[in-house]
Amino acid sequence: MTFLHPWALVGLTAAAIPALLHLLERRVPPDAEFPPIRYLTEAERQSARRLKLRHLLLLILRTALIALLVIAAARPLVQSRGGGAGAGGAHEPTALVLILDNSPSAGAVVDGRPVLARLKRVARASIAGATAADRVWLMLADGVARAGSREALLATVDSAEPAWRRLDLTAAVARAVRLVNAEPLPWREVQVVSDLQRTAFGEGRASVPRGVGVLALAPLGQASLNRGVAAARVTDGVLGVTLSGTSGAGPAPLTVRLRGRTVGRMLAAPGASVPIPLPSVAPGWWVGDVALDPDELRSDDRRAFVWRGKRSCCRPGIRLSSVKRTGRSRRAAHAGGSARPGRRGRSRRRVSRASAASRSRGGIGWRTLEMGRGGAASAASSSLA
Amino acid sequence: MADVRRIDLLDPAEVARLGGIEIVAQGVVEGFLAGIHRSPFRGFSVEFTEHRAYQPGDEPRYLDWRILARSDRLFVKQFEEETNLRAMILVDASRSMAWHGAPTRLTKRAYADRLAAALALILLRQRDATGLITFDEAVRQVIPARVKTGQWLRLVRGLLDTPDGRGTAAQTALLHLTGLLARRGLVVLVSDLLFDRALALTALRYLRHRGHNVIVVHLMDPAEAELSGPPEVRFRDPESPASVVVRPRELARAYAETVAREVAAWRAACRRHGIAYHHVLTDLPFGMALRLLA
Repeated sequence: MTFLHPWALVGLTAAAIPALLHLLERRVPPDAEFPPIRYLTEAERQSARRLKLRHLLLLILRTALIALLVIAAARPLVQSRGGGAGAGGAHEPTALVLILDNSPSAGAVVDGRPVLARLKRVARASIAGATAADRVWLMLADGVARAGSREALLATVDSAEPAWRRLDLTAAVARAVRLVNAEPLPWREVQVVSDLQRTAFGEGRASVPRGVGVLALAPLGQASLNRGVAAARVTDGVLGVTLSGTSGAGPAPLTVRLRGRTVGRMLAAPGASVPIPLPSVAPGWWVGDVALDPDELRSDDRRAFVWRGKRSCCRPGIRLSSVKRTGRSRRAAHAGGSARPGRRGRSRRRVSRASAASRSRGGIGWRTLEMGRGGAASAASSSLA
Repeated sequence: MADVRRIDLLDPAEVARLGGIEIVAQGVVEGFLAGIHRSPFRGFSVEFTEHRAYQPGDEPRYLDWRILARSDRLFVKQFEEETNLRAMILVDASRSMAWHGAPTRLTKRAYADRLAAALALILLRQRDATGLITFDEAVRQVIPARVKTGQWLRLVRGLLDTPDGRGTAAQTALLHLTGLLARRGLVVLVSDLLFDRALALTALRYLRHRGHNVIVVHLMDPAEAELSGPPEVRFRDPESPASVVVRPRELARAYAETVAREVAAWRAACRRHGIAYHHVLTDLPFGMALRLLA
C-alpha cells in the first residue's frame, strides 16, 4: 500500500490523543451525598468487568477512528493482486491512458535500481489489471498514445528505455484526458507514472472534465544529486563547457576527449562555465566529447561536440564559428549531422531529414541553424533534443 | 373528583407545606378515614356505636339488613373498638434518613415523621395504645404505648425532639424494643433499611417469635431507586467515610437492578418470617401509604 500524501501520516500521532486524555485527565468530580452507597458499590462491583471492557473498546474505537481519518487523509492506494489501482478482479469498463514517463531523468539510479524499473513495474501492474472490456493506451515520452492488446502494451512497457526526450506532462495529460473523455465507457482514467521532475511540468494547466480521473503515481525516495554537461561549444579553439545540476552538488572531474584521446581534465561544479583550450590539430572535422564522472543520472554526464581543424591559419586552433564562407566551408558547416557534404539548399534539407530521422529513432537530434551572411558561418552546434 | 381534593391523596411535599406534623397528620387521617369509612386497625372486640348512611365502597357486611327491610334505606353499622391493641412505631432517625433527592420532595425522615404521626393518630382514635421509639445508632426517644389523652401530642413531640443522627444500628433499637413490649402487639418499623439486613432480620424475627405483628415500611426516595446525576460524580455515604466515584449514566441499569434485587430480598425475607413488608417511595401520597398498611 502506498499513499498519495504520505506526509499526512504524521497525523497518526493524534491517535494517541484519546489515551493521553484518559491518562492525563485529572478532573475532580463533584461531591454529593448518596445514602444507598452500598447498593452503588454492589452495582459497580457487579458491572466492573463490563465497564472496563466497554471503556477499553471505546478507547480502541476512538483511536481507530482517528487513525482511519488520518489514513484517509493520506489517500492510500491499495494494490490488488490482479493489478494496479482501480484494477482487480472486477471493475467497470474503463478507458485508461497510462503515461509512462521514460524521459532522461527516469534513467537515474536510486538505491541501486533505475527509476524507470520502478515506473515500469507500476505501469505493468496497471495494464495487467485491464480486462477485455477496457480500452487502454500507453503514452511514452514521445507523446504518442499507443493502443493495443494488453500483452502488446505490456511488451512495450518492458522494452521502454530512458528516452532522450523530455516529456511535457501537462501537455501529455491534456492529450490523454481528451482521448479518454471521447470514449463512451462508464469509467475514464488517466494514470501518470512518472518521477514527477519539476521540469516535466510545462506551461499552462490541463483541464480535466468531470468524470475523468487523473492519478499520478510516483516512486517514493529522495531525489539524488545530479551533475550534467549542459553545453559544450568550441569558440576560437577554446571549448566552453557549461555544467548544470542539482544545487549543492560538489565539483566533479571533467574529461575532454578528442577522437578518443584525452586532451583536458579539470574539476567543475554545477552552474560553472569553464573554458578548456584545445590542442592544435590537423585540418578537418574532429569529434570530441566532454564527460563527467558517472553519477546516478548518467544520460547527462557526457556531451559530444564537433570541431573543424583549420587548414592553415594564423593561429593554432580552429574556429568553428568563423569559418570563411566558401563552398567547402559551407558544406563542412552542414556536415554536423551528415557525413556527406552537399550544396547549400540540398544539404540543409538532407540534414533536416536526418535530424527528423534521428529524432524518430530517439537518438541524438541535431539542430541546424541558418547560415549567417557576410562570410561568417553560423554555429553548427550539437545539442541533445 | 372528590378524591383529588382529599389531603391524604395530595403530593406529600405539598401537604407538608400546610403546617406542622400535627396539622398534616390530622388532615391526612381525616381524609383517609373519610375515604375508607372504616378503621383499618381493629382490636380483639368491637362495640356498636351508631348508624351511618351507606356510601359506595362500604363493605356490604356492615349493612344493617333490618333497617333495610323496614325502611328500604341503606345504613351501615359503625363500631368503636376496644383499646386492647398495643402498637409501637419505630422511626429510623439516622443520618441517611435526612436526605432527599430533590428539594421539591420531603426528606425520608420528614416523610417518616408525618406517616408515623398519622398512623399514631389513627391508632389512638381507635383507642389502641400507641408508643414511639426513634433510633439511629442508639435508641433516642422512647415513648411507651399509652392511650390516654395527650398521647398523640407526646408522640409528635417525640418525633420533633429527635435530631438527625449519624449511623444506623436498627438491631440495637429492635432488641431494646423487645423489652418494652411485654404484651403482644403491633410493631411498625419505618426506615430506609440501609443497614445490615441479616442482623435487622434477626431482631425482627425475634419480635415475630414473641407474637408481635410486625410491619416494615421501607422508605426510599425516588432518586435512590433510579440513579441519575452529572456525568461523573463522587458519591459520599452520609453515615460513613465511604465514597465512590461513578458515572451515573453507565451504572444506572446495574444500580436499578441492584435496588430491585435488594427490595426483592427484603420482601422475600420478611414474607418468610411472616412480616409484612411495604416498599414506599417518598413521593407516594400519605393516604396511599396508609392504605398499604391497612
